[in-house]
Amino acid sequence: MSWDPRSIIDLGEFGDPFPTLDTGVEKLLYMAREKGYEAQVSGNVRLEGVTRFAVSQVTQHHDLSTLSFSLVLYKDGRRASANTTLVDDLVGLMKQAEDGLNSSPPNKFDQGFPSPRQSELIDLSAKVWTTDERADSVIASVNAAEEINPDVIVAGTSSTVTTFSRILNTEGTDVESSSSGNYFKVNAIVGPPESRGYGQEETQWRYDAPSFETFAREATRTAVDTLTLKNFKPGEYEVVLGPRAVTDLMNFVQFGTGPVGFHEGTSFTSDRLGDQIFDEKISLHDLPRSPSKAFFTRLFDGEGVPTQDRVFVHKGSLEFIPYDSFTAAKYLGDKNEATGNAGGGFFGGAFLGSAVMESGVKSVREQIAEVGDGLYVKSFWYNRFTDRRRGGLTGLTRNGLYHIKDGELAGAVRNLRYTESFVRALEPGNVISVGKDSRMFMFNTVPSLHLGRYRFSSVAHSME
Amino acid sequence: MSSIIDEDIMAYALEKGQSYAVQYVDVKWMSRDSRSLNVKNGDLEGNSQSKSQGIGIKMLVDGGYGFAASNIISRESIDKIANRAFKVARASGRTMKRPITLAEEPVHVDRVQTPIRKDPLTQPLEETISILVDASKAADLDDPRIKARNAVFSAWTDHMVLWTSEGTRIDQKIYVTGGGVDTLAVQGSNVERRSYPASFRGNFATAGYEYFEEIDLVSIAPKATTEALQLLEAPHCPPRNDATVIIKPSQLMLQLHENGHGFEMDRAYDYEAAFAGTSFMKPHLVDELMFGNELITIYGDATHPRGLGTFYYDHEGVQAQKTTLVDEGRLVGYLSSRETAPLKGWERSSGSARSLNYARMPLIRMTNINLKPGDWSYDEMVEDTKDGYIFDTNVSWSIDDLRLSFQFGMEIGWRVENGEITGLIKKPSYTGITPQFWNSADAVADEKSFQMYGTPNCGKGEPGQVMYTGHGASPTRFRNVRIGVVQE
Repeated sequence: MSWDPRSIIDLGEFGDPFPTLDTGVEKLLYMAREKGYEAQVSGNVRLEGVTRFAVSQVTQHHDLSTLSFSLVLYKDGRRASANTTLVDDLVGLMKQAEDGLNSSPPNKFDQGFPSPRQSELIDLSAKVWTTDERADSVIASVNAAEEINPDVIVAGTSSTVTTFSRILNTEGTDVESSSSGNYFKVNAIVGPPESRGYGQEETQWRYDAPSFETFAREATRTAVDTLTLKNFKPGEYEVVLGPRAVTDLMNFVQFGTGPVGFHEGTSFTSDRLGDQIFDEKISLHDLPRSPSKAFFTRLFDGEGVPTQDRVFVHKGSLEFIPYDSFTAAKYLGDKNEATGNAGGGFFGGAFLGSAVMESGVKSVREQIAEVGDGLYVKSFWYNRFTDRRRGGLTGLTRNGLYHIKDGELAGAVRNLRYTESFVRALEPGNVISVGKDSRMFMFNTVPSLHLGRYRFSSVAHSME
Repeated sequence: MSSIIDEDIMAYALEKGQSYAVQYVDVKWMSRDSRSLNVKNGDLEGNSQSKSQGIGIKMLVDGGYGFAASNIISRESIDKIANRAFKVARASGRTMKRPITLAEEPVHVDRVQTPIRKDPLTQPLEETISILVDASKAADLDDPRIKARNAVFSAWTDHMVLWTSEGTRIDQKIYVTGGGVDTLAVQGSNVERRSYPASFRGNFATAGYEYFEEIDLVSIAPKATTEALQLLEAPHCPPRNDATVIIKPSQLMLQLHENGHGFEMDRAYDYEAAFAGTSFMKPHLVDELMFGNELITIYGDATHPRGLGTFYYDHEGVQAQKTTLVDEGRLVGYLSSRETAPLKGWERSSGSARSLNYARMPLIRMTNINLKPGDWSYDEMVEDTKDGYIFDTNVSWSIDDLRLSFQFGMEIGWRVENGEITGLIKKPSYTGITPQFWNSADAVADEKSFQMYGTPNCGKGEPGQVMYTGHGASPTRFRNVRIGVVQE
């Protein structure tokens, strides 16, 4: 064993969960076997430290530890699941799942749990970020922001999370996975209540902490910039999308790539596997086993199937649809076609959570320099599907929208609402360039994008 | 009703918390039991149950909050939780420029629960599954364009025991029950979905299993399929900038929800600036801003019977209240907490602080945000509309971080011409600016057509907290609305 997934838990700080966890999962599997059921059991540890700040001080400070168990029973096409944090009542958990199973009619598609598959263990741990260090990041951010504007109001989040799971099933699977990571975000607000400027910078990080001061200064500069706004009319504009804006679009690309939507005809992927959907400059990988590249990493999925690094969009062509064991059985006829993308639980579905976009060669500054008259969008907000089949979305710009004139930033612009399809925005010919500098977010790592046109439908942040 | 948590453990935890140099401490034990069933095309595809419980300790130290929680309930674990809560509170205290002060609240010693006739978590599973299978089958009208017929049931209880260093001892159990049906129809790239009684897993109420029975999924399922198929053939909602629109409650509830976030006092005072955003309804605008016209009165009412945001005490131990937020158009109030009410000089919290579970600090959450009914009958409102549309059942929503610019999509719309409904339209949508929109209302229907809807999945905070809120309204007519925005 090259890496011990259990070494990620600080036993001195939180206590040792493993005796309870191991005894629990093994007891549940034993009880299930004794009763003649097939079963999948997991024991999960989640540790979270979250420091929220606002009005330039800490407003909420959480320190959480949870040990939980999940049990899925299966017999003759019938299935039921139960989970609990009542670690002393696993007999109750078994009874609940058993009652569920006995009340369930058989599902003709269900083939039970996936067969065991082994995989190499990889260290997915991050730098430990302590409570006091997180409080220090708040103080550093406030001080740096106030260097730019003494009246700035600073807000944000400094958080850390550690997870461990052991998954067993009656097919012979017995796997362990752990992961940890950190997150920093800083927001800046300047100006009087009726006319304010806003800025924000954020990133997930694993090994090297970002410069909190640099982020805070940049957010404050954006807030100062956006105190004075130009009004732009809705319409189509050439755009440079910063990484924070690109991550929002990619979230919808990823979560629109599920097996149910693909087969039911509600997804932009339906009937298009193998097609050139996006511009050839767009290549997307799902890298759950690459901790230096993707934030959401895990060695096994929620069913104990090994994860796999792979390409899902190659030069604009859609090459991969993820499956869990149930959707693999239902749509492909074989539970073992599961791809290692299961969310876990009972018919939990499958998703792409670790996307990495291949970067290009240009910096954001160079991309902006190539725009004659357009917009630079630092981030989007409150994005929602309007038409899943066509990849239609609506949302707003937030925390920095700038006019680009003759290759230079030419002042901030009042926020706009967009109503646009990501399929149309990324279609062949509309992606002018992909940036070289990527930033890591929760479910993807992405650079900036320069697009030929993007459709904005109305003006935001206005009483009129 | 009995508490599961041992009172000795609660007393030990409170005593342990008070043993540190704290200004205030509370101990919150919470337990959630839930059940979820999902039938698709006649097959059971989801049968899951869940139990979670744990204990959280919140401390106020040097004017800063600290909170720690665990699901391991033992004296040894509580010692660790208390120590960690104190450690993070002290770390918070180092950053405080404006120390927290708490609004006064009378001491409450009470034991309460949602009135129910049938416990939704002990009803025989077979019975509920049978209803769902029947509903899914009833939705099958033998048309190959029907790709999915879903029938769902959800129920949970939230049991809270809250003890505070001020002497409050509350034992509260809230029951939630819900269900719904929806049909997905697909023809080529044309995709339509129709849901009853509401989208996204149906409708919910603080009530027992009898509420699920009242929804009567088997009876309403065929209508969902019929309308989904009709929508495939219907014309698109046309783009217009000056439309007259009657919005029915299962859409207007989400308008109230999204605008309702703006009444949250933590947003108004920038406490949620880093995530959820702030509010255009700034503190200096209270008693000044015309949120709507004289037809618009909005309450935050945590006491509305069966509302999904109904309870007896919030998670800071403040008694549930009915708060006027907008009075005949004018902004007059906020949803507040014990921390935020003093910021405006108010003596008492509105009782709006709730947490997802034992492992979260309470945040200001909407209760039931309800629009006061008017005096129009719904039929008269339609008859009075010469050239307009009726929109119903939310499917898409988006609003800016100040809660000003919104855009909604619905499942279904109807054309109204000369006071008569003349046909369906597909993919209706509208967009607008909040105060302009509410000032353009010219008719609010009466109490007879008032309906409550629940939103069980409202997200806020970091770490994320999903909360359930309620929204009641009667059909309301708006003038000069921009519609058809998402038309290709």
